Amino acid sequence: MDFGLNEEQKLVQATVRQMAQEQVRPKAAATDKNHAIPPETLPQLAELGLWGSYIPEEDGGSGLDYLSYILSVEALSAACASTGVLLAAHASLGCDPIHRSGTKEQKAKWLAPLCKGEKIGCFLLTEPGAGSDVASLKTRYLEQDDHYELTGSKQFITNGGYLGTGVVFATSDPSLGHKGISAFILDLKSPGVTLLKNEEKMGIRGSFTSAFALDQVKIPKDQLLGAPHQGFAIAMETLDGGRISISAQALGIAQEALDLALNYSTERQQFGKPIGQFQAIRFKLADMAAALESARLMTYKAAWLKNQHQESAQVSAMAKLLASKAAQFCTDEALQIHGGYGYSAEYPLERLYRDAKITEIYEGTSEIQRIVIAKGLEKG
Amino acid sequence: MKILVCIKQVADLESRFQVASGQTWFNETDLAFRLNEYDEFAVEAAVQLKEQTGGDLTVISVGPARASEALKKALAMGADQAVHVLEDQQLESFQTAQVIFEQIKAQGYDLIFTGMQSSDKGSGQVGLLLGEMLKINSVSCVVAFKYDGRIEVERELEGGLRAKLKLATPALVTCQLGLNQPRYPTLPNIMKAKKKPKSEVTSPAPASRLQVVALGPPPKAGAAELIEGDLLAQVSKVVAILKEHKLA
Ligand SMILES: Cc1cc2nc3c(=O)[nH]c(=O)nc-3n(C[C@H](O)[C@H](O)[C@H](O)COP(=O)(O)OP(=O)(O)OC[C@H]3O[C@@H](n4cnc5c(N)ncnc54)[C@H](O)[C@@H]3O)c2cc1C
Repeated sequence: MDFGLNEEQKLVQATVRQMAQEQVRPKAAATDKNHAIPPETLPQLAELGLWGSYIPEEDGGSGLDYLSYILSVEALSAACASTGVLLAAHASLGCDPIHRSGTKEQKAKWLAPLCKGEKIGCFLLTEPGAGSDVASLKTRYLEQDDHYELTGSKQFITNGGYLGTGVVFATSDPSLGHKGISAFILDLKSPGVTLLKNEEKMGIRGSFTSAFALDQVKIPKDQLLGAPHQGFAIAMETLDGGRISISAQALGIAQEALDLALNYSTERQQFGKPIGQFQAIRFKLADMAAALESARLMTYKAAWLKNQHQESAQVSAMAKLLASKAAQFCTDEALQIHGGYGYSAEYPLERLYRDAKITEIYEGTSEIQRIVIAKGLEKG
Repeated sequence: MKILVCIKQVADLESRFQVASGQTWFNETDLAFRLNEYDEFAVEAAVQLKEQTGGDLTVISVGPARASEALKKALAMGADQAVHVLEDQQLESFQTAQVIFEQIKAQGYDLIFTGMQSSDKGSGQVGLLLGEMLKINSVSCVVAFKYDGRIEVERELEGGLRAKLKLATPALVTCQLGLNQPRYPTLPNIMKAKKKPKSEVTSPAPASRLQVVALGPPPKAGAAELIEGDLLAQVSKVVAILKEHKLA
């Protein structure tokens, strides 16, 4: 057993951290305030090769090992959680299913531009009536001679507003439940795709969360991803990986909160001494560090498993459950340690607190993670 | 053009340094290490020169096993190959220069870049000593660098002055902060650096000419007290303090 990072992983971590601290963090407050990631951030991620993440070089990617990718999302999220999920959703939800289930031709046509950041990736599963229960989705597809025709709607799509490349899920017959679902590669600029709105949200405000109407969208036959009716399996496998990236986002937020709290507790003086000398504060810091570190170990283990193609739905679910809880807990305690200043928008704590919450909701709520974990127990 | 960069891995300056009593170096356990900041400018200058003239860029470091991370970074930034002289002892400048000299004296490098100093020891001598040992031109503290057959550099002087110099190759240049904008190694290049040639060698260091006697923080200076209040209050406070210390 080896808990250390190798040289490449350390170097990736240090590099992304440095870039994120120098170029992303200074803009995090404005990103939140303006509900938009500054446009210049996208080419900066491209320059570093972040968009290509763990996709192998022969498919146009950056060839990172999976843990290095997870370290990148963590470092980016510590600087700005909106920017963190921009990468996480692009790579884990947009690129991953095409990489895993795409043909050689599909990879050349769709994956390579995604890896360069020429297109931003997204994943269109959720619908107004189908959230946790994705098998109940209602978007229909009809098979025509040379294309499929999709009609329905999609809700809460991260990165949707970039109108790049998505993986969209639809059913041939809702009565078939999860067995009727197929996955398709979708160019979001196709006729019939209408961006209805970008959601106003509590946190990760810089990240697009978009609603779409799909009206007889023509998708060429060669954009079917995997086999017909394999969509549900593709979605679930994708989310097993995606959850690790959301865990990494949560770790980044939690680490930032802990760092800020630690710093503040040595600077802020009350009753004649730094508040960090009060045991009540020290215990908070200790609990935060312990929660964060255990979530980190779980997340890195999930990443390590995925790297050797032994991904486990249960381990990913445990990682996300723990990491999102750690993010929620650490931002709450860090805000408390900052007192009134934590509540003030002058300080970053209230933003981190708002950003943390989403990690307990998307890519499966914490309740759903527990369902996945419990199911694994039954298998024995 | 044959180019060499000499680099060192140092403890991150944000570390909390602890020196056990009687020791002459800080405890390295749990510290984070990085490529010496000055050396990042040296690597960048070397990579830019290589991009301009073509040629071959070697990076060398003398240090313990962990220093391999710094070499990896230089490879990821664009060096072609790395030489790691494994050395667990803390060498003094002359020893380090001598060890590098022994490795490279037969290589005929046209240009050698080093950082102006290392951020942990700050002696600023290794580059210049190496230049002397090789009997080539050396110039230190460089803040601008150009090459067009000859080298043209600017050196930063006290009082806000800059000196412009020209010199012929072979030459050695020590790089000051701000010489350029060191690039981030790209992620694909980090992964590719794994495949670049990296040799590990050992080379006995000559005896040290210096003896480090002690290492520790400077003695704490007396605390300053800020005297506040209106003029009368301030004056009375000063008088009281002078009286207390029997100075008035
Ligand atoms: C900012 C944001 C970004 C998102 N990005 C994407 C994206 O890119 N692509 C995409 O497809 N979707 C995305 N989503 C959708 C997200 O994954 C869903 O919101 C989430 O899965 C929950 O679905 P829901 O909102 O419909 O809640 P519901 O499923 O209606 O759940 C409501 C509550 O009931 C609980 N619940 C539901 N079923 C059970 C059960 N069986 N047992 C116990 N409790 C249960 C839930 O845990 C929750 O507390 C995003 C959502 C948000 C808010």
